[in-house]
Amino acid sequence: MAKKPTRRLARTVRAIASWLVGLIVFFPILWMLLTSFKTELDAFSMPPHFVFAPTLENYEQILKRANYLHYAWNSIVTAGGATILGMLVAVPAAFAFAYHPTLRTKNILLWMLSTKMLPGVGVLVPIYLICRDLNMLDSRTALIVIFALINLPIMVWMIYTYFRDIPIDILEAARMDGAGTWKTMSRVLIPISRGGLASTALLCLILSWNESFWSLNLTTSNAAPLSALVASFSSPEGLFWAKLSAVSTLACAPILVLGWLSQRQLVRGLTFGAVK
Amino acid sequence: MSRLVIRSLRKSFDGTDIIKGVDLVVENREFCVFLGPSGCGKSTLLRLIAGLEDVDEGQILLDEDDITDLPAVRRDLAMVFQSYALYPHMTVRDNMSFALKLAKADNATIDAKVGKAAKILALEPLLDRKPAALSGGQRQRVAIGRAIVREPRVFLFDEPLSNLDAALRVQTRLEIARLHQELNATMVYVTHDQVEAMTLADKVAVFNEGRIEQVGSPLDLYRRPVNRFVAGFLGMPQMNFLPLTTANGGYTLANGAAVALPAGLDAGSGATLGIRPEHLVICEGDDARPGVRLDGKLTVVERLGSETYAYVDIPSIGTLTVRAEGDFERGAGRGVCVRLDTTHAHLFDAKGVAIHHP
Repeated sequence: MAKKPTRRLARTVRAIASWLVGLIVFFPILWMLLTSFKTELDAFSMPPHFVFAPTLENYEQILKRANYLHYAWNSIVTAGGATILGMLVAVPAAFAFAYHPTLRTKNILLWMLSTKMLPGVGVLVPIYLICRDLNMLDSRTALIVIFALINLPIMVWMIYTYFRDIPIDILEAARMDGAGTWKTMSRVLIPISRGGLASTALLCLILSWNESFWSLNLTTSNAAPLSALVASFSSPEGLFWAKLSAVSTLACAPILVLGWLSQRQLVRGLTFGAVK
Repeated sequence: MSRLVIRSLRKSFDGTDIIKGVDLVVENREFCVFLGPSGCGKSTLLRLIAGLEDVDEGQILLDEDDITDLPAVRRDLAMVFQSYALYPHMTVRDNMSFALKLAKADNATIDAKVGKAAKILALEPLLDRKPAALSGGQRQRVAIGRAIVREPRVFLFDEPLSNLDAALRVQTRLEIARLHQELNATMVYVTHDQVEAMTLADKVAVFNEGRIEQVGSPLDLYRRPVNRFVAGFLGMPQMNFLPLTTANGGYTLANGAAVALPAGLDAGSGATLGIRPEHLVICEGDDARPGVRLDGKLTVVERLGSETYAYVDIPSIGTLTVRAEGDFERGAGRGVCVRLDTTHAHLFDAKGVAIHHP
């Protein structure tokens, strides 16, 4: 019984620490949200105001100045397309790596990952030239392919890790039951690993949605996604913090909502009951 | 009809030979057990039969069909895995009907077959549960049920009991024996447990280092092992092995005691005498029973209730294991003698090949 107050204290400290960390992580988003409802003057004021008269003026101006839906649609198409394309390549690739490894599988996986170490700007010129020659500048197709390619190493690695956790016995049992490779994947492997596949897809979606380097360099208006719209508000005439925050809020709102809705799916790991 | 014939099968992994030329026939409706220590190739052979590994050389025939290069999917064999390997996202019912659904059986047939198998294995109350909600024994029964439903040409079992606790293992072993009688099917069963082999098998194939050492009925192997490996592998506790030396035209044990071998038997030099613990007798004082008398000291006494294992240290020979009756009272440290009656002895030549059985 003497221990009880100490334990309670420890729990309180832990709770406070967790909230603190949570707040620090969340603060930039909160600040963006608050700033988006300020006037430009309030946004600049030093020390910053936590209490102010909220205004929707920034949002009105943005929606007047730019066609938000056009950019949002581009984001949906490019991020969604890249995710689908990436998954279509990554799942079979991870399947092969996980269940039919050769002596060089580890090396290939490492090599795939190493491509992520190259800064994107290093291949900007060749990719730009390729896109120009293929007449794919400012096209959503080009962005889809590029987003899928830059995310592919991480997707393959993630799915490979999930697949490696699934005992090969289960797949062999499916083979004995008369399931070919396709049926084994569609009826057994994918359903079992759907939690992992969903988080991989979501990660690819978020990364593609927020990608700005290639979006800025390869698009102008036709295929420009939301990240390009955000950048267009940091203009040479000066920074408009409030409007920038408003457009950023609009840009990340959809993905934030999606993440919120799917967090259960993201967090939940699948427990295996079949194998001891 | 399902008669399995294996001809000169070979398999290696990364240059290491695992199966070094195996020939075997499993008759229709026979229960054949592959027995051997771990790493002897018995599981690999099962996987070759199943089609989960590719054959390097040799042939696998099922009745008249050559299935050597047929993919696992089309062999019509069912396998029960050591890890159960149930589909975790499916209910027991779906686990059991998966193969039938793939084969596009109609719903009435599926329900009838799953119902029948569930009844045999007492799985009816569990049909709508997921594997995670089952105990180990129940999972293994589902795995067996999944095989039964298929009505396969041959059942393959890969150490199905080794993940179960001792009591459940005995119970499931009985269940598998009953199942074999009921289904009248050809079964191949891999295990390293000689009790499972002795109790379940019609025919046992003893494996060692990628080869079959001996094939035969359990008692045949126990009574007439072809070599030292089989003699030592079957039997609990292990058979005692005593090296023999030739002297003056006769044979002596390492402590100099002369041993009379059956008339006309020439074991050559480097031979070994083998005798099972149940054929040795503990004696004390003056004992006129037949056989060589070896004096020594009790080192360990294991009392199992129904019987007792006494370990007797004989100077310059080593420790002999003797099976005694359950009410054996002498304790460790006591001086005793052991009677070795050579009429029960096996003889192995210098290469370990059996040249005489009792």
